[in-house]
Amino acid sequence: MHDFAEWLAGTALSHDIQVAGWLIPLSQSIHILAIAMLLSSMLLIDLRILGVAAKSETMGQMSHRFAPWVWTSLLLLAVTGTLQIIAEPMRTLNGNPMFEIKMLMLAFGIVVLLSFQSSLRRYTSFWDDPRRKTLTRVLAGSSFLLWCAIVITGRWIAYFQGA
Amino acid sequence: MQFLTEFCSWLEGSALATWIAESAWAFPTIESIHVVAITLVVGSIAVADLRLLGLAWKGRPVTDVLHDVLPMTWIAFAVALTCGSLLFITQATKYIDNSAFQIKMLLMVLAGVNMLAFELLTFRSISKWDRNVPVPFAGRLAGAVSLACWLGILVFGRQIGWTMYPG
Repeated sequence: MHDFAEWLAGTALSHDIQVAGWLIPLSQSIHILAIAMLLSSMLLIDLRILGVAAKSETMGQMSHRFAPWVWTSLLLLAVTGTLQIIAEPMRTLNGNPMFEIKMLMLAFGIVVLLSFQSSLRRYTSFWDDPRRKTLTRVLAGSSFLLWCAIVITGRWIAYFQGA
Repeated sequence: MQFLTEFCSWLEGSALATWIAESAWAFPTIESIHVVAITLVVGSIAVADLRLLGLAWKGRPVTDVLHDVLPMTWIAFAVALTCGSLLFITQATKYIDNSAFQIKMLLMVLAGVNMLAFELLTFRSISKWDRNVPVPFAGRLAGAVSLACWLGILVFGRQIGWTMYPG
């Protein structure tokens, strides 16, 4: 990984992104706007499961409304995040523990998200079944905390260095 | 202005500010919570703004959408404001001189005035446009101004970090 980071840091692409002084601030701005889209959409779905908001909407309606925002923001985050890694590989790929924890949690979060959507398609009633209230609420709460943790470790990348 | 500078120096010299600035973990921790809170403020208020603009959740009455998202906006705003103030006092004199910070504060005032005008004037006739009809021009304008202000607040907020401590 260290060699790859050094190689990437030496590429013309990495150099060009750094020299274009506006590209990184622009990418960071889009990154945080996408986080706003993602976290708020997730929170509204989770608050619906927790019985706090949008009680008159079904889970099918909620997912149909917010899933496109979730996936669009994840795409924007992947593009801008990759750009930031290419510009400064030594900051992330060189064994920065916060970056590694963030990526692990992100992978887990995406698996959770895909399972949620597939469960919603196959067993629509699961998420609206009052008998499963405790289980669905615990899942919704922990899923939201996981995404907060991903954002927080992302911010901490700046305060940690690689080996 | 003289008073403001003196007040900022006093804030910076306070025991709380010194502790946050010197601790290895306090600043990053408060900053992380600030980021989560501010993204929730902007994302949730954007849902309300898009409903006012007629671009999202049109089938749901305006008052229902506001009830769904505004409690979340206010809680997140209280957290963001608290954390933001704690970050501010660590280097108050530098922040007030930072142009990204100044623009952000200006946009927050504008967003506040816009919200007050909406609440006190436009919202009074809500019963006429709560559901099934387009929101009147004043309501759509309030949504557009709010959305523009909050997106700007997020972007300029991010740039404060970039301009004060490059990286």
